[in-house]
Amino acid sequence: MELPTDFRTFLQEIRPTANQREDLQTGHKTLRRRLAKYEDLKDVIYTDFLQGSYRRATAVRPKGDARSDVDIIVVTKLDETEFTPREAMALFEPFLEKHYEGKWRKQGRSFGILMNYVELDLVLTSAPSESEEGILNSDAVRCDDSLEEARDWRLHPSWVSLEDRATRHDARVKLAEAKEEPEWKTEPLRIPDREANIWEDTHPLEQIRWTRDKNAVTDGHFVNVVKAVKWWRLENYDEPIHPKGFPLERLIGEVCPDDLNSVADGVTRTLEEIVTQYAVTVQNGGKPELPDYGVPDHDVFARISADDFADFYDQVKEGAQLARRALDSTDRTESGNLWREMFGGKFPKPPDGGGSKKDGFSSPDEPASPGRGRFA
Amino acid sequence: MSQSLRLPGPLRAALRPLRGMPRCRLTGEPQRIAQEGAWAVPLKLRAQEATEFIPLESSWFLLVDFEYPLGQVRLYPASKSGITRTFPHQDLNRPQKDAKWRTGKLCLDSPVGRLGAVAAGPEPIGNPDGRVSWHMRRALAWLDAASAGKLLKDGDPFELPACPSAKAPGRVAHDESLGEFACWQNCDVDVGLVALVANHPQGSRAMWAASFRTFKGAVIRESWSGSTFASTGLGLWWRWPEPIVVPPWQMPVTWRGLGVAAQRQGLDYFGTMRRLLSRARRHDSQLLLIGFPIPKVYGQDSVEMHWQALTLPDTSIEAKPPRGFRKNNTGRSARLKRRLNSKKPVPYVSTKNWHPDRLQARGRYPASLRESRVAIIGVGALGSAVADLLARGGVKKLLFVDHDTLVAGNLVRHQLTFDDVGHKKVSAVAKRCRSVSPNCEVRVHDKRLPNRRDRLEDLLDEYEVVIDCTASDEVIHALSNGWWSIPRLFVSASVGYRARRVFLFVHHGNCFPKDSFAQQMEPLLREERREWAKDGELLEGAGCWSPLFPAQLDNIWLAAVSTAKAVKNGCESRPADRSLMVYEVADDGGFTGIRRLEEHEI
Repeated sequence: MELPTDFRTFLQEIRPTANQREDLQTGHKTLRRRLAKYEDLKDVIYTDFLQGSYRRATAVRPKGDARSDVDIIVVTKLDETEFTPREAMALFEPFLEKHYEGKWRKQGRSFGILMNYVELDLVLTSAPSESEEGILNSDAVRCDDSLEEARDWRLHPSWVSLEDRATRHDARVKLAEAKEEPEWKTEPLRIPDREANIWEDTHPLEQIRWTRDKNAVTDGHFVNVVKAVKWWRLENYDEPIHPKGFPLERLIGEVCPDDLNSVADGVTRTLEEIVTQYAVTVQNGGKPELPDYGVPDHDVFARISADDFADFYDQVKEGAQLARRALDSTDRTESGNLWREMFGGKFPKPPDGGGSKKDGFSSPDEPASPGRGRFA
Repeated sequence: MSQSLRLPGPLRAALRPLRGMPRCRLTGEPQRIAQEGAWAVPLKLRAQEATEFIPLESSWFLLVDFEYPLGQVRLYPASKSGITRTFPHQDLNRPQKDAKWRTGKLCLDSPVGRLGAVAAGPEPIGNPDGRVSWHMRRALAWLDAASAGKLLKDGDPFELPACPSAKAPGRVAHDESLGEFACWQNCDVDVGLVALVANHPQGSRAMWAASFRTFKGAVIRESWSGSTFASTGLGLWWRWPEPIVVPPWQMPVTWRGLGVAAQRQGLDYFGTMRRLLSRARRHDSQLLLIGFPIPKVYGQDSVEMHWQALTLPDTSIEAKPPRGFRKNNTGRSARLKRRLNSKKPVPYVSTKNWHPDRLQARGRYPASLRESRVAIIGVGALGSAVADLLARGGVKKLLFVDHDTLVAGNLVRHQLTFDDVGHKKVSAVAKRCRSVSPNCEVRVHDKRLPNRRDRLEDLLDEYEVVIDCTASDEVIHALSNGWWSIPRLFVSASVGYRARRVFLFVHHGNCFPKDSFAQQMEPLLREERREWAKDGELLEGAGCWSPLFPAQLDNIWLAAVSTAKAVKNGCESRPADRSLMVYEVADDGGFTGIRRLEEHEI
């Protein structure tokens, strides 16, 4: 059974907590404000924005008490030919020391800033081309709204963030413009590679855009399928660590069918598709090659080993079978329990009565009354 | 013939102080006037000095109702030796047959500062000694102010000059106000055409001035454009620079008086009237609106236009010219001049300013609600009452969604009437709302709420407030599946068994949160169902199998009021503490009120 209400409850339980969301928003706003005022940096920075799974609405809360990672890009005006990534990053260290003493650290190509419930992961870019400046400073890029919150997000300079809609009188007109006119064509940004040696391409805006489109075509189920599958892995398997995060998301995006009826349907068929599509690959000891959105010559799976993928593949086989049984079961209790086996305790417990009643609002343990109980 | 009856005690008590009042002299015995239900006491008042319109000593009649010290106390100028003109704070002062006094009653109980300073405090109704002398002291103050020309002073609220009552049938309504005054200030013509519309044939016989234009067709200002009024032709308008008065403070009664007033303002009376009448013939118009700017406070700048309608004289070519005049242009012109110079009364038509600010002044909702576009889904018992509250409260743009048809059995708790039985609820409720608020633009959707998301989103797109009065889970689902770019106020309102409780779920956002709604409502609805199950089914009668929901209108109204208040608060500020509010009517063994349940009780 698809159990849409139970899945909705489950998804609420695995998405980042309200505290994490609060922390991210306050943390980001504070960081932005401080960067704008810091003497030595305010003319070096162009803008900054939230990227990653938070923005794409594919983030799940970490297990236990771990902090949630929040990816933030800081777009600088530093010329690539004048500054190596390491040199660029060095410029920020005094700022971090001043405002986040004891709470920041350098981690390869990014800085981490520890907050109460989240860790801000800061990545610098080199100067973008001038043509990008109009869009990079717009609400569409700078807002913190996730794709699930701002369902009409479009990469257009007129787009208005959710928080401003209540106060801006021209919000309706601007949003209509953003809806009707074509989106801005952006170029990749340049960030440090893993060792912070050289600048390489990345395209977070294109990742957001691709996810939005896939989500729209799957009637809003795609981002939930990603979250559910991520959780399934976290819940059941400590090893191998990879694929996780964006590579896992990318893989799901590759195989997830468009014609989904529900999250349950999506999870089952996605896992089954992985099994089908990569059977031969695994047999040959290989692994998928998945170009990044907007940066086609980057293979998202480059750093994942074939062995890890093979182990992962076996886990997917198990998961696909379990999901199929849960989906195909016509017994409420049995289906609920199977989904619980798949996803763990965050999936709601089914009622003991069972039976093939479709889940709805009513419950059986009361005297029969002529109606639902309310009237207008 | 005077009647020498013994005067009643209270009247004697009333007149006693007058005998000693300076400048006041009783000139005869009070006479019993049966048709007035009052005693008429003749007296003379002495002004401080004689002026153009006030003799040194003027005659008056004081009318004291039989029920004195209750009933009315009125002072009129005598027909003989009384003042003959109309002043501010006085009814139109005309002679009348069969009475020894004129019609110009003094307005002595107005709170105007001047008179209050003399006889301060409210009128001592019920006090036989004091009441008449209160009036007379005020009358003397009035007289002094009148002769000094100080009845209208800078700083006083502006009072329009008294206008003769309209004898012609029907009325004309306009909606001038400060907001529209700029259109007139920017306009450099003084005559033109006005498009007139009517509500519906059986309506209040009011014609509404919908659009003022120049003769060339340029629009100066428009109103009521969203309404469903039908055009009833064109009238004319003529703007004067100053209030149109016959001094001291009265609109002209006769055509000649109108001419004199025009001359005093330097206007070409005959020339303009001729021009207007020729236009009237061309457009088959019968109405002329004469207008002038007025201030809110005397002595300050004008803030709005005031209009007074009148019926134009018939100058059609076919009308038989009176003897001595030729049936040609010269003849017509001479005849017109005679008419415009005559002492025939000007046929004024009752004219009202029905701007929403005035109509709603006695009690309307704050602008944050009035200016919002409100959609009401479901106009049954609860929805129709909410619609009525919002329309009367001044909400300008409404949408009603309901597929249902009214049956007679609905009337026990619905706002509609027997005339509406058999009609679609949305159309009948819309008609009713438009009829109580001409300002109100109502759209209807006489089918169920669309299930298809794009159709649903389009239908509700422009509405900042969406009120669900359907008690339908389908509607909850639909409103949750939609997503609107501009966040809005959602209110889901429904009542429980016997409408003892009303459940108000309020949310501000891009769509309705059905899970939160279901989670909070379910335990409460379980309780409602338990109550209902105890009493069993209610059926309409033999032959009907589907059960009715029992709920009396008084509780429905309480629920509607709670809903409207929640909407009002939601518009004023974001809903603060919690989304679900439950109000309960305390009615067991006597009505003790309606209260909101605490959080722990829900």
